[in-house]
Amino acid sequence: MGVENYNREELAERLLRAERGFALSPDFRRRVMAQVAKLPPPALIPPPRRLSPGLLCGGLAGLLALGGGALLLLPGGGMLDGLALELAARNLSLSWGSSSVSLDLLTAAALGAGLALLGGFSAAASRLRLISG
Amino acid sequence: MTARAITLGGKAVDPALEELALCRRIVAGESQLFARIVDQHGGFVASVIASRGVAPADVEDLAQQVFISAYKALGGFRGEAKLSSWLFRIAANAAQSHLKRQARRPRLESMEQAAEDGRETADQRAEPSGQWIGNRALAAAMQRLPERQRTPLALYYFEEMSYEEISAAMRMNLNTVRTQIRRGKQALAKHLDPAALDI
Repeated sequence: MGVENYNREELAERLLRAERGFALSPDFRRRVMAQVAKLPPPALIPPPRRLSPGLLCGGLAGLLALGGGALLLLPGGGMLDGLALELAARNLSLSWGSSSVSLDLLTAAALGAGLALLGGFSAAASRLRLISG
Repeated sequence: MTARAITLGGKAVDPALEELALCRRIVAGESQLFARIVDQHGGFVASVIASRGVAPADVEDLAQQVFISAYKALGGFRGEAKLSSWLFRIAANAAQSHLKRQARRPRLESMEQAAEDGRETADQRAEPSGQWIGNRALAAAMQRLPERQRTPLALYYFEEMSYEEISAAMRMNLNTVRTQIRRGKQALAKHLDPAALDI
């Protein structure tokens, strides 16, 4: 049958109406329910644990401390000898060889708070996006 | 235990309330009632996943995972949105994650090696996305549509959902749903390859 006899949009409509949804296999429900039967009631299933920003920052700080400690204990720990850390009243200065970084403590605190807020919002947003009732 | 009809003072209740009551009973321990949700929304979930571009061979497994995730998280469903809308979010996210995983998966075996061994590669096993639609020309044209048109079209025509139901499920403005379906149909007509039509 020639398609030129049909208006293309009518044809699209006709083809769309002739289709049915995705055909799930007849045992789809049985397979889902077999897995459900192995699970406790949803009321007893704890909500998925997510790493809170606080925990994440704590973990990061712990890792840094561990790394620092390991570097000091290692025979080659002398690489830290050249590192000079200076904490003034409101400034933190870090210099290593010819490089140096200086950071106002208030700026550092604001940056940390901002990053923690951003992390919190991201975690909340991703949770809401995944499951929102 | 057989499923009881959900009524309030002997009167028919609002479908949304009925849905919430059903979910609460499942959460409380009547897990066999979850079969109703699977029956009612199975096709919808599969269509959402397929319309997102997941290979037909993977759709059913992914739909199964979506229902298991939904069951586990059902305690968090508070009825603020429709159940279909809640399931839509889970299905759409599951499809997105699946597609990302697929894109990252390294090609561990070459097609030549597989051919020598007489095995099929994953590429050969999985039909190209869009083959869940029977008509090949329509499937190819559907694949060329943007997702924002493809999913509403699939739900409207294949799942026979109303504009209102699609709007609620996709959390899309009603007029936007109408517009996307109309534009999708127009684009589809343009993309249809008459040479490939098997009518």
